[in-house]
Amino acid sequence: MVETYKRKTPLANLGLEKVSPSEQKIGKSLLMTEIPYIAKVNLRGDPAKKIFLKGVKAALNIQLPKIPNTVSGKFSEVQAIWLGPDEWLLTGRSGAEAKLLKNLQKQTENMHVAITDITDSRTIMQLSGGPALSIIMKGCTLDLHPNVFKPGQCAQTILAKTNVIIHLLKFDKKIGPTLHIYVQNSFAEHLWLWLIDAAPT
Amino acid sequence: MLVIECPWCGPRSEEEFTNGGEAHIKRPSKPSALSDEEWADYVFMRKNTKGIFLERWSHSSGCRRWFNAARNTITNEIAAIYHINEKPPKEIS
Ligand SMILES: [Zn+2]
Repeated sequence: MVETYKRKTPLANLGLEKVSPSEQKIGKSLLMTEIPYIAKVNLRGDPAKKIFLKGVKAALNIQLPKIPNTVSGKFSEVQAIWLGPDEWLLTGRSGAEAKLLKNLQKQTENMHVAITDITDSRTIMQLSGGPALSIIMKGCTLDLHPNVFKPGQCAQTILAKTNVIIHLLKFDKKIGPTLHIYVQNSFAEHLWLWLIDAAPT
Repeated sequence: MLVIECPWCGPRSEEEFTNGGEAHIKRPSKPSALSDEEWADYVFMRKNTKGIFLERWSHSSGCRRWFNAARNTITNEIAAIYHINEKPPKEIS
């Protein structure tokens, strides 16, 4: 865990915090925002074991998604992103990682699990607005057609040669899609600049 | 570019995957009992099949799970995809 006062977003170099509140309006209808410091915990365990699912439910108050590439819970509270048949990325409010870890450790005591704090490994970029998906299509082979990639779905894939997790939160008829891109800190600046470059002006 | 169907994530582009070579090679249960020749055979020698070849793939930029595929080395067609702990489907082997 990084001391809070030492924390620096991986996009700090770009001076975004001076552009309040570190968001950029690209072109007419795309809004790009960095959401740093969200609590992130990697959880591994066997979903075939009911006692494990029960313990996690007690710790988080949400069910782990069993369907590949789906998300359960709420981003504003606690969320579980499917990463593999026995692996999930849990997110929580900024600063909640210690509590998440403690609750999970308590509820899964003596079980065969792995609980890892990875809060400071990635940052989140929120894209919302009409062209968000078509921008991503420029650097990603994933099928993002609305018939295939629906709200509540997530995918681990490659975007602009960088490993990312893409989560489609909602698809508003007026505003368009809102999605989160989880990117590793060391690739964040590259991806942010690539997105701006790929966005229509 | 191949489209490979990850048993967990569904069809994805080849660039998300890593090829792991020939599948179903079993590690000898007593390595110390092997001759140099037998050990070299286990470590280095692989089939070079023309036609249906059973190989391992990892969805390395996706869910990071290993799985098996039966790929035709002439046409690149993938005849079957099956889990890492499974035997190849009967119609293939
Ligand atoms: Zn996969």
